[in-house]
Amino acid sequence: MTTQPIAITPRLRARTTAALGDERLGRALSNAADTFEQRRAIATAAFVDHDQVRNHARSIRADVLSRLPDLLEEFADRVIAAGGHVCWAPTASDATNYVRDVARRRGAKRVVKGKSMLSEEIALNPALEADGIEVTETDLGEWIIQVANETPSHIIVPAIHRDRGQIRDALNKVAGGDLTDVPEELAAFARAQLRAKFLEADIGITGVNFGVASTGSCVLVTNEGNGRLTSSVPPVHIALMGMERVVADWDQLDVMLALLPRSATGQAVTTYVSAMTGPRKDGERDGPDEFHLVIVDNGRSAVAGSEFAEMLSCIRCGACLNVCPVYRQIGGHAYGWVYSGPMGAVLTPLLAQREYTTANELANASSLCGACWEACPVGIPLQDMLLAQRRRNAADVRPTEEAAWNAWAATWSRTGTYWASLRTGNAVQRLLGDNLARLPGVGRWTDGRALPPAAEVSFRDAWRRGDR
Amino acid sequence: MTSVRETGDRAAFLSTIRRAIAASHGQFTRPVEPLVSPLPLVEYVAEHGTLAEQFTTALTLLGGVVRRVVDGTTLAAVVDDALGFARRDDERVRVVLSDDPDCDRLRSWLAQRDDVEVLDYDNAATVATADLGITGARGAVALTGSVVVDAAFAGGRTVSLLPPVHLVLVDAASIVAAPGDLWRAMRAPMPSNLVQITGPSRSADIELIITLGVHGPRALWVGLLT
Repeated sequence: MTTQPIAITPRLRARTTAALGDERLGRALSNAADTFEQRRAIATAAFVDHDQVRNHARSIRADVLSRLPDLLEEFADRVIAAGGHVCWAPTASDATNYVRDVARRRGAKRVVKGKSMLSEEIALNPALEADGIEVTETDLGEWIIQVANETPSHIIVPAIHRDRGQIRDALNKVAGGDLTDVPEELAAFARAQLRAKFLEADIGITGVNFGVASTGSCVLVTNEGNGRLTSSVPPVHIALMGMERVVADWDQLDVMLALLPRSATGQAVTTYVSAMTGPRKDGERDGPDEFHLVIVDNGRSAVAGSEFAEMLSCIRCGACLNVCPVYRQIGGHAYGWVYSGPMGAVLTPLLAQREYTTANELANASSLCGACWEACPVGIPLQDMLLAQRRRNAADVRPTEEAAWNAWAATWSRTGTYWASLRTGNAVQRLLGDNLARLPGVGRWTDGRALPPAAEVSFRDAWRRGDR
Repeated sequence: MTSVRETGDRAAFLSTIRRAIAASHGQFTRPVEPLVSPLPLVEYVAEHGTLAEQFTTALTLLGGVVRRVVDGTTLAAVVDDALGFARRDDERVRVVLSDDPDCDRLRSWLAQRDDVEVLDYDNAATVATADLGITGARGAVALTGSVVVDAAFAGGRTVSLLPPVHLVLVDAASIVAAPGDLWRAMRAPMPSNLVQITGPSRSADIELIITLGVHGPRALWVGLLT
């Protein structure tokens, strides 16, 4: 089984058109988004003052980012003091090479993984598979898409784009054609298959939701328990952490843990919250002999030094995806990389510009309505950032384009020319059809947009004629 | 500080961040309220009943089973029922116990029974063959219906994880009101693993339909010692 590297083909317009044509995908996305949104509303009603908790969370993230080097240093020292190894990885390849080195030294043949968006970001699976190592995703949704050779379409529910029949078809590749589409049966099959993988694995790899600097603990929230199995059963545990994901202490963690599951799935608490501090201790009967923490920059420090610094506050809950009118229509794959929805549209061009040269156009995949900002548990003004991305994209404007926009502004600033332009536009569109979507000079703007077809008779003309 | 257990250039890694923060002044584009110190506890809407009652209500809603234990007889009844629930066929129920002090009194009692095989807690592979795992708890949380299992007391991690049924003995006096009361009491040195468990293992990865026991236990039973 191989994992596909993230493939950024074709352009945004083609990807969104494909997604919009998929009715089943649309229903699945709306169902998931509505369900999570309703549950989030119920779950946050448990707070006496939700806004105050969010304000505290935002202040905590600002505090952490303002003294990130000191907190990382404290965190790393504590991890080492607890018997763990620490790797500082400025780039994706530094991180993957470290994991490959550990695997080589241990003679590892089989790796099990908990869900980690960071591991997708650094393309860890292809790197390990190139060394002949079998990598098995163990989160049910991640395993489904791994078997189906796809990438995640939602950061919390990776296989949300597939219905039970499509999941059965994917898993039948492993089962040999005996499965029905009953979810319990599919889950039981996964349990049996993956349990065997856990017990024979040489290394377990997980992400980290929060690193607690004051005690050197890696905190992981999961519902299935695969994160616990991955970090407890194999003899080596490697935890991958984005460098921004620390908190100073357990007081700060309390606030973040109160918000994360409520914002992600509308749960008051996930089934499991694990705090892992170093490898197994003397006298313990199980747990990994080796614990490795890989702290990854991979473009984050450049974000810290930019007007997008607050994006590093993100705790990857997915709330902004669920409320986004654009995400709800096009789903995660249309964003073209690991992260999707409003947070993905901001983060992707910042982190993946080198591999994904057209990522800038993602800023157009937004209505700028601000629902993401309202939903964000740490108050990131995502719509400000999308606007800033658009400004940045327009910095190299050509004189012809600027002239075209100036002409448009002048035309639409006076009533007479405004109405005349609409009539002309209407007539031209009826003559040329959809070709009008390629307006001369402003192709960058029209590329990401589809014009609605013009009516035969405008509302204004119909009104004047008395067709009421 | 450098260490044999450290890879990569810590100083360079951190100075890159320092330079970046200096360039952006570490500022967010919109105003941020200063961090309150000390940070107040997260406040929750008050629930009715004692902490034990709140705990029971919350965990039962999530599919957990909570039974009061007041003496040896009620303890035996809870364990009996858990054994019956975990029994796969007519064979003996394979049970593994953690090293928690609360498990000690059960070990010899279970070993005498004909219908039970007590497995040695050797390693994960053995634990994976058990039908029922029994552990103690470091504490519990009323608001969320959570129990906390500490690897330092349990002697490891997998007894509460690998068997399909987990029975956990919780001292009712150890229940705290909210998660913050638990988390904010944490100090170094931490155990290698500490896990807050709230109900059976669950997944919603297939059409958001809840399935239990996809990786961890499909059932969580609590004996609440009062």
